[in-house]
Amino acid sequence: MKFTLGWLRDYLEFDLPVSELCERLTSIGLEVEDFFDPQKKYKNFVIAQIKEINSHPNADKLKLCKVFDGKKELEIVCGASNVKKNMFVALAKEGAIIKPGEKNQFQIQKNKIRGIESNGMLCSEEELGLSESSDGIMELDGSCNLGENFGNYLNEEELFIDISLTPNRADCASVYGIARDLNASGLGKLKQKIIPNIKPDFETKLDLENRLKDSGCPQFSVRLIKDVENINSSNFIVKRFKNSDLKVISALVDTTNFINIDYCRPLHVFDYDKIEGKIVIRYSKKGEKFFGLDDCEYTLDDGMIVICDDKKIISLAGVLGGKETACDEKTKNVLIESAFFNPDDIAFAGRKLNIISDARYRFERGIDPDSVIPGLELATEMILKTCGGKSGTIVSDGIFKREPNRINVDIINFAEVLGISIDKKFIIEKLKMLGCSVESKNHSLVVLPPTWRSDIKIKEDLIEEIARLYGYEKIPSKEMEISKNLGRTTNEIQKIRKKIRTLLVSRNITEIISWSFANEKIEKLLSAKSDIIKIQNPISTELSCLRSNLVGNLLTVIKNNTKKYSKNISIFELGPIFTGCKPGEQKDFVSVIRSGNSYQKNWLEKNKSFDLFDIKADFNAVFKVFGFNSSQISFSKQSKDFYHPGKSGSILIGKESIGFFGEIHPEVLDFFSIKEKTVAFEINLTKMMNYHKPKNISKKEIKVSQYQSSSRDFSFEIKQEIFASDLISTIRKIDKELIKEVLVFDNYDGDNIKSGYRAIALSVTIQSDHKTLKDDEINDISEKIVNQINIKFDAKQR
Amino acid sequence: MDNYDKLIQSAMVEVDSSTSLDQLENIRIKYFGKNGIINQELKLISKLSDEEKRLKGTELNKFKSSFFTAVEIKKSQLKAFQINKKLSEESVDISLPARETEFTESKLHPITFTINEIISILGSMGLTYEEGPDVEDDFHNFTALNIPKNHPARQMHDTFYLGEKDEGIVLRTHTSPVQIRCLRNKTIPLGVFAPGRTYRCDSDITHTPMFHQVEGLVVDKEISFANLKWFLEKFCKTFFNNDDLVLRFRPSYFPFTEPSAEVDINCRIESGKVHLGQGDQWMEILGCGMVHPNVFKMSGVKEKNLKGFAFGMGIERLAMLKYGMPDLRNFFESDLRWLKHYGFSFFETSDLSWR
Repeated sequence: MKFTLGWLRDYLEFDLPVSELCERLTSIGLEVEDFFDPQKKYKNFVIAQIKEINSHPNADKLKLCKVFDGKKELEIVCGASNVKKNMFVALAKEGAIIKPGEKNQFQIQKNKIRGIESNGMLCSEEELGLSESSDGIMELDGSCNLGENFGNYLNEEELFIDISLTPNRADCASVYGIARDLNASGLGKLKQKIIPNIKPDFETKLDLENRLKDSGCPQFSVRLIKDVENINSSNFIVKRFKNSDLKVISALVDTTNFINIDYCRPLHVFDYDKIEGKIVIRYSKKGEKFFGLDDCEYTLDDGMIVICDDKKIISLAGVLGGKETACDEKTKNVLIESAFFNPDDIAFAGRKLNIISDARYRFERGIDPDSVIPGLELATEMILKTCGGKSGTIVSDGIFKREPNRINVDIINFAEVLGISIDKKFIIEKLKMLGCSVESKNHSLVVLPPTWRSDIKIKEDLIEEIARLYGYEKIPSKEMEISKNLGRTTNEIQKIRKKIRTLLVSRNITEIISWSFANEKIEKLLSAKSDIIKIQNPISTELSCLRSNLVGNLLTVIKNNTKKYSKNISIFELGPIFTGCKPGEQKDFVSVIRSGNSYQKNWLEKNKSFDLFDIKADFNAVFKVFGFNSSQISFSKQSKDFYHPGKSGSILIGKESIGFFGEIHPEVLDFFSIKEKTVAFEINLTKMMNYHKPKNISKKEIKVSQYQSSSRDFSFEIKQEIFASDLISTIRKIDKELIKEVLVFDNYDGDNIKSGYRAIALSVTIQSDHKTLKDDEINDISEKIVNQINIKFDAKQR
Repeated sequence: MDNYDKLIQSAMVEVDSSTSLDQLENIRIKYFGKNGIINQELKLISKLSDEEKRLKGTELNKFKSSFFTAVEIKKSQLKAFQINKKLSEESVDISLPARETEFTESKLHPITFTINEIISILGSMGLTYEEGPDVEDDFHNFTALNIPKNHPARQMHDTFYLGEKDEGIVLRTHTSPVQIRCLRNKTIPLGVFAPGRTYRCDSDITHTPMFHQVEGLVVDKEISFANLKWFLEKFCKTFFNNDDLVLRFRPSYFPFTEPSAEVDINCRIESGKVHLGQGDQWMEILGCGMVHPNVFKMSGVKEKNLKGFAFGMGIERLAMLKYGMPDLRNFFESDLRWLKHYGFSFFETSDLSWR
């Protein structure tokens, strides 16, 4: 909502600088986004007078002017041809910035022009930012005071304020409404809007049928004005419109736009002679066409309010007028429309057709239903004045009166909500200034909000009105206790997430946060499921669906970084993936991806690319966060298609799969143009939480053996498909007390091993907590190990 | 007697001139070995008179003690020499690069770290960390928050829609639906906050289609706007670690709060850099207000006369203001160089007591 200061002054007498006015607007909830601050913009620009003009000794086209700035005379070099003695001018003094923010911005400095010192610059309108181009310097009239800031000279129609309106304040989508609100806040004096009562010259005979009296259009009124001349609007309107960002079209159309912004009363003018037959207000049918004033053809849906004649739709009610009945310079007879349309219907049509207009903006936020007739009267008055003509009677179909809301509020309610008691007199006075009628009882009020404030419905709305007029800044801060502290801030999954993130970063893996979205192409490549969760209105094809895994986005990140930065990358993400499009159909996952070498090129270690067993160490560490050690998880070779079939698997707890790991399939890497070997794991944390038992805060006592430990090495020849992990768990089970550790120290298939077999070497640590073991006892365990492995896995010791 | 003095002298010279531990040992054996000179001498002693025995014994003992003192001294000299020689041969170029484990190079995402800080502050102020789903239904995201269909406020949320047309399944446009879930499921009094992902169909220099918000909700019998002001002042001053911060509460509009406010903090912007807590410019950081009675009603809260306040803020914005990232879009581009620069090491603490 943009308007000029002069426009506001039409309704409010005030005496304070525009910057303070803007502070007041913001403090009452009408946030100023931008304003023309002449004091700031014209800092170091003063009003001055030329006292003497001499020619420049070194240049024919330049002149030496002696300029008086109210205090002293300054020597200025000027090239303009229109300088005259005694002329009042705008003088940019040292430090003034010409065209701030623009490309050719520059600051005035003392400098010598052709050998003569110049102490400033005499400005043209262009240099002052008042017009696009100009000839010569700007001549000011004599009404100004020498030495004053040039900003003071400007007409208030040059100064604009732009406010950002919240959707509840339709009443302030009008200059008059803003004046009323400022006045209620205790500023200035309000000049009441006077609604004329035009005596009609003739009776309007019109065939009009409003079929939506009980639904979309409770009131529809028109007035015919005959014999008008649709001239151009006055220079005054042109200037005001230009600085309020309004389009200037013709006197008739400008009148409706003026009243719309001035009084929040949308109107429409039809060229009466272009209407063919009867005017009908009805809902549109799907497929109907409408040709708008914006030269676009729209295909309508069911249920949009339209105004039609016998042949065509002449207006999309409350949103956009029709081209075929538009007023132009030839218009002789004009029909002014003023109506009350149902806000929901207007919002529906506007949104569906994606039309943004000043009328729609106001209708959908709710305009004053009592403004239908006043709007017609105001428009008639203006049109008769500028365009001449004779006015007819007002014709209406439907009369809308809204039952006022009666709101009961106790004075104590204000203190309860705001935390500070507010004087009853203040409350009543302010409510009345807003236009409410107020009945006062002992400790309570009955309030009827004005017709233009449909947003005030309940007592809390009244409390807000009083709070903002009282001033939020005057409400004190009051300390409080949250009365129910549950004794915890976070729950188990929240704690686990934090631990896992910290852990992974400590393992030299960088955290990324990527979109919850995914590229459909990548989803299809990586997802086993065929049903992709599509977004109806995606922002781009790259982000067209919800991700069903984390790996796709992580691979994309690797791809982008290898191009620009490094080929050796370790990253993870912990976040939601989606299993369906119902609320709650999402799971928490963590996924790590490592690509390239585990070291940067260096002089100490040989390059080694990340492999399966690096990623295993990563997820073993994650399982430790849950209190699981690596012996409590098992594996199956079944994994997802995007992994290398021989170097991947699923991670099991008991029989349940809770994740996958492996090398990424070379074809998938190829799709992402990743050249380096890449390994990944993904764990379903939501599932894992079922296995999570919070630990006691107090730790179990530790028993450390004081006796000697021995270790024995074994080497077995086993079938290829046997899992080393099964060997280890079998050995552990032989004597859970004495066998402390089983390590794999070699895994070999080659020359001396028959095909389909491999050799695996294990080191077993044996130790008692109670005594030093004798050789016999250790040998006994060794024998058992060899026997068990032999029986269970048909594996011979080598 | 004379030959003893000579013997001592020659032994000392031998010890002194030895150049290795082996040589020194040979000298020891020569004099004090089983068949050494001194043992030979001792064998002769028994044949002497008592007086001579005593004298000779004293002489021998003197010799023994001087000899071994000299040997020990020489031994340590030789050892030191040997070690020094070995060490001097082992010298390396100490300026060669270290065996970097690079653990300090990997970083937590700044959003994670900022959320951790928020958890720490709001937790210490008595609030509980709650969560809600990213996919929401129309009821929780709009209707229950007093945003009916066709309400202009719905258009301010550029909503992503999922599922079938008109099914009303959306990606949550704010964290406020968690308010509804908490009001429906938890007992009152209530104090919760909910950080999380939020989505709007918008992408430009200051908008990303996904971003993060944190919601706060406190409900009890006696809660006022004055309490809200205190709460947010405390939060902001703690978060920005700046007691000079001034908060400006300005009337605004959210369908689910009444009265509503937007909050600005004071700052000075100088050549693109924001200095918080000084200057006379204002920077918007959050929205808040007193819970609208319709929200209680729609959430099925039975208790009468409840009051509450709610607030919501953008986490990226908080992070940018605190840590100085200039561009929102970088948060989700996952450029590792950016993450390394703006991220946080695992050993850095988000706990406010270590500020």
